[in-house]
Amino acid sequence: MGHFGAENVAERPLGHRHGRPQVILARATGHGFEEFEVPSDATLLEVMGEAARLTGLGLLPPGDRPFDRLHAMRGDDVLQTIDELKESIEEYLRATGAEPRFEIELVRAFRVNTRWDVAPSDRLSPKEILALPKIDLDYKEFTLYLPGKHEPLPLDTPILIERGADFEAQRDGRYGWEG
Amino acid sequence: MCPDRIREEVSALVGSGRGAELVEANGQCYALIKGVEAPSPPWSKSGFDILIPVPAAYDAAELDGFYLELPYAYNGGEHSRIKGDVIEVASRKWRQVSWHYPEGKAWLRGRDNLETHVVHCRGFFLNRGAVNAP
Repeated sequence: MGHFGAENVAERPLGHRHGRPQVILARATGHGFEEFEVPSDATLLEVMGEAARLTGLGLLPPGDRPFDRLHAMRGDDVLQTIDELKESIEEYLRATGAEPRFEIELVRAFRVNTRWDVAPSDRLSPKEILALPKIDLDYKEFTLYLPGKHEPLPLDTPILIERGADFEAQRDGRYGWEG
Repeated sequence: MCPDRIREEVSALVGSGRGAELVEANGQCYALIKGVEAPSPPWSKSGFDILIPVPAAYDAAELDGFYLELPYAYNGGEHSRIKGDVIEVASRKWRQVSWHYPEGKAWLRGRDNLETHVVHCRGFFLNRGAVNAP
């Protein structure tokens, strides 16, 4: 059984928490269940982060608002998405009468510069990537690159988007004449 | 006094994991961006701090160019486009880099911001996205 520690994805050390231990059973989609304890005042986001960490994953994007989704479970059935992740596990269980059993749906989150979005399919062209709502960069103005690479990615050629993929969109530059 | 808008954008950059802070010297505001990645070689190290001057009227007025921390080396010597003024800010020396937006593709309020400008500056180190020869 894992124990909730300071290194959880939600990055909020719980060393000073005094809530009684709550046993959780959770899995990320496609992975096995992890059983672990959290303080009863841990938030659902922290529960989600700990489950991901024990699975060897991180939530994406990092921080307080992951695109990955937390689902309630009843037995082996995966139920609705839980939207209110700031609620404590104690409050959630008391209000819903649910089991402390969850599945984390891992989405194909990726980023361009500092902008994160979810790829709707595993292959997208740079033009499609730049047009995604949370990326929202004009393909006529920005060129997409792999990090650290000199060659631009061809605008209309689909590329594989893996979870956690990283791209850079750059506007052209001009060397000044005063050099 | 640094404009409110750039304060918000620096906070957003820091929140995304990029080291950044605002510094002021002689009434001029600068965004100090830490560890902008550079290929080494030809650059003398794999990350450089850069200093981006922020106009008082930002973001109605645009960001343009940057200063590079000193010392640096490129192919063991100087880069032909790093020959601008040397300034002292935050107890360090910095040299102006001649890297701008192309003619006809000027900064546009609402489309460009500090985040996109940092990536634009990073292009200088990679010699990418340049419309003319270095």
